[in-house]
Amino acid sequence: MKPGVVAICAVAACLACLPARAEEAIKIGLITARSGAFALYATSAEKGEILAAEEINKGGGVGGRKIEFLTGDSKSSPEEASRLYREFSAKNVALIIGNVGSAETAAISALAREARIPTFATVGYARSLTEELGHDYFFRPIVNSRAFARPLAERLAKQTYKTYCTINNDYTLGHDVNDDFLRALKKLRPDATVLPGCEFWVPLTTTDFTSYITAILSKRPDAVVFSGLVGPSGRAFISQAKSFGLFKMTAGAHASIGWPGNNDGLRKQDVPENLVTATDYPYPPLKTPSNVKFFDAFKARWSELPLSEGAYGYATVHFVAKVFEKDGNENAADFVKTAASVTYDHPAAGPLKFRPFDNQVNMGVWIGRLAWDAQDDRPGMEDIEYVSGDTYLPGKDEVESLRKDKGK
Amino acid sequence: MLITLQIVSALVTAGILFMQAAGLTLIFGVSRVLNLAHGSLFMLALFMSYAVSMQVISGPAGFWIALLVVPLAMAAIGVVVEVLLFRRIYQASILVQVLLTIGIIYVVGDLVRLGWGLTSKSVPTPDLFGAPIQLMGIFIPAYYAFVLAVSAAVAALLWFIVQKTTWGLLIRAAAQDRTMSSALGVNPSLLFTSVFGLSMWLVGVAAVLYAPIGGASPGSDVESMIEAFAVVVIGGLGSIWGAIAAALMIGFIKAFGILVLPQYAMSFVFVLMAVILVIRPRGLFGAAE
Repeated sequence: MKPGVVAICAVAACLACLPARAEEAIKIGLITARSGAFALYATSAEKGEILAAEEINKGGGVGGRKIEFLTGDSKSSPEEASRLYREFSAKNVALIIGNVGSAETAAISALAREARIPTFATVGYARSLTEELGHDYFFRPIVNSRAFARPLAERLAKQTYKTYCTINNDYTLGHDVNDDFLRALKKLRPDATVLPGCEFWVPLTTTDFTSYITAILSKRPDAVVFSGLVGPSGRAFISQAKSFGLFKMTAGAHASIGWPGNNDGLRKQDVPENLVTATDYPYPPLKTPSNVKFFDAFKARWSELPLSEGAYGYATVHFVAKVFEKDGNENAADFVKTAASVTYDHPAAGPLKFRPFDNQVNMGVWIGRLAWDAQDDRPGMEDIEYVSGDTYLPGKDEVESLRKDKGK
Repeated sequence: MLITLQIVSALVTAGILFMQAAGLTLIFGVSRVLNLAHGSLFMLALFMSYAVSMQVISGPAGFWIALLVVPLAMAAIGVVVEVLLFRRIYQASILVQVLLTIGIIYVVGDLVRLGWGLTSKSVPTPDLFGAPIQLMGIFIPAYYAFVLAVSAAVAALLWFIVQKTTWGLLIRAAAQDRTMSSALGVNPSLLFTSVFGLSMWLVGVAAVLYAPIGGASPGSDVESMIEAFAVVVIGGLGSIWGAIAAALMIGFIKAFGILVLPQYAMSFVFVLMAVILVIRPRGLFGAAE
């Protein structure tokens, strides 16, 4: 181990709380993409985790023992994430949390299978992580990418929309999200069609959509679905479409532009009239006691608003503390057995459960319309309804058959 | 309605493309240096216009002040970069030129990351252009009409400078025969520096106008470099008229390609580029070597 390669620090080493105890702290490794493509999401998750650990330590710790984090920056690279994973497992951490994207999560999950250390992922939502690639030691406390298809299709199928246009970034996730959505829509609404010549694929960095928008305008579809337009492309499309009045004529739908990390930077005047979307952490924040408590604490601690990942990180650390408390030890095999019997208390979605056969939490999404949240001065949603994870997650048999096919 | 709308969108796309690419072609025409960092400087200007209109002056005047200040700041950066770096490599091999400009890509990329982080920023459309206007029987966003008008004015201004002023005469002379023009007493250093400044001023104008449409994002360097190069390759390196013609061709090919074969629309531009390179390798208006 090279000293100094990565800053290892006891972030949550309690400052103003317990008198020092003889017992050793419980060590948890945090692998966070502090730089690179996932930095925005990952750092919010880490802030949620630190906040939760501070709360636990202040309240007396886990059976009197404090939680201590070892942290490292994965730089959004799977190689670096793997290196940190090995480093932390050599230091005998009780558990590892990966605040990293899907590719990095897949890399550390493969290591977790060998190392037999319970490992949580707060940012990677690729479906396969808990399905084909899943195993006993990998836990996903966040939604699965299936949440992008079915809930949106259900909401749109209830409307009178029959003719659709689609526009997405031309890359794997863009195609997957689009195909999954159209498959789900066709099942619910066999009469729905994508208009001929109205399926557009644009390169990832595209920000000039003028010609696409005028083409869509001239085709006059009932709805335009663009769930696979991500990052700058998604925001640019929305603001340009609004300036052409596209959403006055046609409904818009995007499966994840309601996610606070995805609409960060969207301005008030860009929020269109009629854009159906979903979120896994709604703004304005829900007024439930658990959410108000989390939201206020996060804002006070970090002087910024939590993203979905902030809520996940917070709930994850509280959850693992409850499991350790119940077991009375940090034995990994005990942890895996106990996990399904302890509730995962998501601040906004309430008590949830990890499904014992795939360790995927049954988290759902809120579906509604994109709107401006004046009280927090950021984009938010209105007219929302909660769609439970149980409605779109695969059943036990499906997960088992996916894993078996993978093994062949 | 369908056709008119698509024509307008083609013209807007062409206007932005032309302003992005004009500086690249001017620099090459005079100094024969292919500035691969052109897109990076465009990205820097995008973030500068975000900084001026959102961070320094947040208010309706922000955009107009950015339109004044950012191009001038970019021109100043252009002059400094030319004097400190480019001046040393005009006689060097093409490989050295490529290495230097690639180096600038990395430096500018990191500067933008340091200054504004990793997330993309959006810039509001100026209040004056809030409502759509009616043009040729259809409604288009007023801001797009403004961009169209400014790009036409910039093209006219460039034409005037290049064709009607002494400076333009020197630019044309140097583009035609660099050795002969310096033999006749043209001070090449001064000419190159001023052309670099003018080119970066154009990049600045293009960026301030584009920021409210596409925002400023860390990946915009690559996108804008590819597009500017497509314009310059099709139009002919060093030719302003070529840049105008190529920007219009690309604008129309994109806008109408999308209507005919949407799934292949993106490749049309590069197919055109390949065809031009095969039948007329120096581009439409490029000077024969």
